[in-house]
Amino acid sequence: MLWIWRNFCVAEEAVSVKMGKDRVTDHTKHGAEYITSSDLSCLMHLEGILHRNKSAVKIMHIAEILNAEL
Amino acid sequence: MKQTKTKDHASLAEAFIKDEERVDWHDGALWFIRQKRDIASKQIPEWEQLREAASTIKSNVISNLHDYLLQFEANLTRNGVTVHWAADADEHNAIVYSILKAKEITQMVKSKSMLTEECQLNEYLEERGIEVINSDLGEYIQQIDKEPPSHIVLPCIHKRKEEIGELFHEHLGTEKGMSDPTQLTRVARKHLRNVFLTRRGALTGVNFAVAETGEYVVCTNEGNADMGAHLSEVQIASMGLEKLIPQKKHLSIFLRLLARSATGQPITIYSSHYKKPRPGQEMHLILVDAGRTRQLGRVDFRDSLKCIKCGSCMNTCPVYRKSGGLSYHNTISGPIGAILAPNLDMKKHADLPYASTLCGSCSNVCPVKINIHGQLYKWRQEIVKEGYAANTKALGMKAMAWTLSSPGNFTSAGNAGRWFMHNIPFVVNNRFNPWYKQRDMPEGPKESFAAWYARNEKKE
Repeated sequence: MLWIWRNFCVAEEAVSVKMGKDRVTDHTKHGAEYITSSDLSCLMHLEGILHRNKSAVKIMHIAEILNAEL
Repeated sequence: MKQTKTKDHASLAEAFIKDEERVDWHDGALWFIRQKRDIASKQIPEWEQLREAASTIKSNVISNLHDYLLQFEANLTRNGVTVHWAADADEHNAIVYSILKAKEITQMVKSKSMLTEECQLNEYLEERGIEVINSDLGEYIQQIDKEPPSHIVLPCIHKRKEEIGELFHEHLGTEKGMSDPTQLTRVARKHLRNVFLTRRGALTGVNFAVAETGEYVVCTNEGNADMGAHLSEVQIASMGLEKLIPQKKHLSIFLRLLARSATGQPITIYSSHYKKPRPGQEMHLILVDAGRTRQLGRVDFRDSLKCIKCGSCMNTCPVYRKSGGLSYHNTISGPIGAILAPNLDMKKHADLPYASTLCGSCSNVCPVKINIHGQLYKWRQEIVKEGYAANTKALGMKAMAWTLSSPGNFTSAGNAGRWFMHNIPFVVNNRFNPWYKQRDMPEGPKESFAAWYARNEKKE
């Protein structure tokens, strides 16, 4: 958890959140139900925004998809 | 100036982003220009060759600056232009003042010059009783609003047309509520036309200075540089040392790249060549260092001097588009500004190299192939080394280094993090955590990946 303190997401909080919000809007506008990536920090950022805004869109790491049982 | 110099990029950006509708529109306007640049560049099959050629020529220029400068000076003198050398902004301003004073000129028209913004020439001359009018429409709007330009090519891109209508109502006596861009432009044109006709002194910037011929080229869309220069008794050009190109034929590369990169136009409406004074006219050219030779001496950052000021790195930058140019508190804003500014004052601009996600889009669109994001990254190291990094950043780095320095530390930090998130989340989820302001923290998994892996490996 400590790593976030030095990062862009915290040092440039306002710009970072606006970028994340716009990214989420891009996805939801196109009807996405899940957002996945191999980048954990990106997922944590988008999940934080989705969760705060009580969105139904879910975040999954690519490994969770690959490891899921059919 | 309206701008508060003490605030850093992050807080100025936060203030700009509060008006979310404006940010969305600002973002969209700049992205539209970025797309126009893409279309224009893709219409030329040799685009990448042009970029490579421009980059090589500029590298040659900054590596042989001494010789090209002397050649340029000799040719200017031969053409009848008086050459001045200025070590810094103060010297530059004093030279302009002395030229005007000798001719008893009290009003000057200016166009196309970011350098004189950098030198704060307007303020300097106004204190000495000389009135200056910026004749580029965008610059003029910024001047009457007493605000610096927010973009090097589109100085008032952050303003709505209604705000410009309001300014014109106040300063030019237009009808209240008038916000039609065409109508407003006509009013400004009428006003500026009178300025051109009555000013005896004109100053322009320089886009390209040709060492081989001693001429210089100014690129505009409004023709205002020409109007000012042609009608003046005294014509002054101010240029940074790095604006040189070796030969006239090299213009065929740079003029094709500049406007396509800047706005997606094939070429600027006017590419005006100035070479010698007309009979009865005086021409002066001021070569300004103002930190450029210092930057030349910085091996990691000297490439920034290749910049031809097209602004494409600003238009593409996700941080710039959302934070606005004024948040960079420097004449040149955006990614290129963030690598030029620390050279001028490292302490004052220590925040700028951090105003980037290092995504690299700036380097990808740069017509002279400056590795802008690489330099942003290198400036961060320089700033930490010189002790100008914010305390929180230094502390975070140390904590990070400790966590990652041994598997034991990593595991205990992970355990501690998970325990806090599950048992006392308010320790992390509070107003002192900037993350939590507009985002939730993750709930945190029950176990670490290492623990999960160990358990599942046994199963098999």
